This record gives sequence, structure tokens and C-alpha cells, in this order.
Amino acid sequence: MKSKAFVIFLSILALLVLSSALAFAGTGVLATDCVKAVDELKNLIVANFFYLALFGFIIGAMGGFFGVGGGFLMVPMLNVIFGIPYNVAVGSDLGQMAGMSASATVRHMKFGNIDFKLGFLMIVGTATGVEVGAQVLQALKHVGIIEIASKQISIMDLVMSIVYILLLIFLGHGMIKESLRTMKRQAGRLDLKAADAPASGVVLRLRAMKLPPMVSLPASGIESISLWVVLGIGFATGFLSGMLGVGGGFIRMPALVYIIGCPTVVAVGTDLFEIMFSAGYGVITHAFKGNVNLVLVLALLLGTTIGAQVGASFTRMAGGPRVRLGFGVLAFVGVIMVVVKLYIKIFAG
Amino acid sequence: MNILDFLSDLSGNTMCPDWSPSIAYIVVAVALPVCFGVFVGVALRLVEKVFGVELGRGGH
Repeated sequence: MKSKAFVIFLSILALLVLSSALAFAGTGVLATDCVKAVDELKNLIVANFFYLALFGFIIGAMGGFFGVGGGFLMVPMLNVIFGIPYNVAVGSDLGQMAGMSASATVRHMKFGNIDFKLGFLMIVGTATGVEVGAQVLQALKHVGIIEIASKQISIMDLVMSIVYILLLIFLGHGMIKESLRTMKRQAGRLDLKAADAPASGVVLRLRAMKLPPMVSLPASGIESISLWVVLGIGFATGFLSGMLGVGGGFIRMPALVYIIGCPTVVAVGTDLFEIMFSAGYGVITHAFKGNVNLVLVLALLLGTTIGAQVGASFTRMAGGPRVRLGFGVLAFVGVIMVVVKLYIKIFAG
Repeated sequence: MNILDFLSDLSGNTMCPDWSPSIAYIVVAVALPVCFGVFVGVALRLVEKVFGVELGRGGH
């Protein structure tokens, strides 16, 4: 029953994604004149408002189902399926994320599992990272075009596509590996001790680093940890948010648990707290750079809000490791779509 | 003018080099998602309270 529901749910989502991709292949912003490009983008988004909301619903449902934000799929798919420039997709996705995290914070407030000291210390690194990431994207936006195989392609498109291909491979591989290991462990084919040993040598060295100033985090039961480790984790995840429009929870969560040593429940609450700030700061800085399309934000918000609820209710019907395996496979579907779009742009566009 | 046209026009020609953001654009860019999110969060909590059910929490 569980696996049947999982397969049906995944098949419906995959069909919707692929049919949308086929329906919108070839659309996008093509004009080189800035006024014409803005008009094209406005028409594209207003005309496809319903489809964008539907797309938000699908990504929201996937996010709810897999227990993740879904930003890492949202941005590349907005570019691949609808032809929305990466900078606008990133800025608008951060707007959507700010709304979703505000909603989640209101709902999670009663649990109160947030280490506020850790959260506020990390915000310094997160905000710096978001700003640096947004500046890098802004620089890419203005760097111009490159000629490959006698076709002109925006350097921002090329760099962002490659970065997303690498990110999706990293995430997909990690999830598939972890879920297979958990399934083996559940089947009793893997030593429990070996399966539960996530801390590598680098992780242990970071945790034990004594570079002053040292801080204590009583709410997480941590006596002493270097402030630079906390700031570094904030900066890395903030950079990913600012440049790629992702929440960064896939790095922040394991970093909070394995490097800093937070209990998992505190890590979940503190991660949510950080996402709220990184998305909030991200949307402000991207708005100042003209990367936030308000109509797109509204369409995505409407879709993701409903989708997340639907997806989350389906999660109860499928087992944890199998859900993560599906998520990993989906990341590789994303890789294929980005590669195909890039190939078409360069060799067939 | 409908809401979509209003939101579109608020942005202006964001892709032009001489573009600068209006205060209204910045305020709406932040207030729209945050107010929407808070409204949805409160509404869902209310639904949980009134109907005595626990809704799925999903990603964020």
C-alpha cells in the first residue's frame, strides 16, 4: 500500500513536470533590448500565471512530500521550463521562500526548539554570505555573452546551469546513498555502528578547532565551539541562498548536527529560523538589484502553499528511506533537464 | 487595472541599466510574501484548533 501510493504520487508529479516541459519548450526571454526584454518577461509571467502557480504546486508538493524546501529544483526548472532568467528565478524564489518560512515559523512557534544564541550568531555569517552570493549573481548578470559552437549564450545561464548540475548531482547522490544505507540497515544487512557514523575526519577537526573567540551554546548543550565555525557555516549556506535561491537546509542541517553538535530537534528549529532570515534578507537585496518579479512571487506562493500541504499528507503513506530515494532520483531528472536545455541552447537553439 | 498588472507595473524596467527601485516595489517585495505566509500560517493553526486535526508540516 505504502509503495503503491508512493509510485502513483511520483508518477503523477513526473508526468506533470515532463508535460509542462514539453508545452513550454522554446519559450523564454529572447529580446536583447532591455525595455523589450522586460515586456517579454512581464507578458510571459502574466500569461502563464496559472501554469506558474501549478508549477509552484508541484514543487511545493514535492517539498512537502520529501520534507525539503525545494528551492534547488524550483530555480533551474523555472529557467528550463518557462525560460525565466536565472537572476529573476533566484530573487523571486527567495520571495516565495520568505513567505513559506514565515508560515512555517508561525506554525512551529509553539514547539520553541530554537537555539536563539546560535541563530543570531549565525545570522552574521548568513547575511554576509547572502550578500556575497547576490553580488556574484549580479556580476554574472552583467558579464555578458560568450560564443560557443557559433551560438551566443549568456555567461550567467552557462555558469548557473553548470553550478545547478553539480549541486543536483551532489544532492541526488547523497540522498540515494543515504537512503540505500538506511534500507540496508533496516534489513539488518549493515552494521549499526558503521551506519551511524556520519562524522568524517574534517568534521571532527572542525568541531574540535580552538580558534578564538570561543562561544558556549547552553540551549544546545555545547560547552565551547569556535565562533568562526558558526560564522563559516552561516556564510556557506547564505552564499548558496544569495546566489542560487536555495534555503541551504541540506547543508545547514547536517552541519548543525554533525559539526556544531546540536540535538536534531534544535537543529530543525534553528534551521527554520535561519531560512527565514536568509530568505528575508535575500529578497531585500535581490529586490534592490531588480531580481524580484512580484507576479512570479505571488504565483509561486499560491502554488507552493497548497502543494506543501498536499505533499506532506502523502508522506504518511510512504516510508522514510524510500521517500529520500525518490528525492535522489528526482534530482537526477533535474540534472537531465538542465543538461538537455543547455545542449539545445548551445547546439540546436 | 487588476492585481497582476499593478504588481507588474510596480517593478518597472528592472533589466535596464538606469533602473532604480521604487520604495513601493521594495516594500511590496518584502511585505507580500511575509504577510501571505503569516496569514496562511495563522489560518492553518486555526484549522488545526477548530477541527482538532494535525495537518502535515512539509518542508519549510
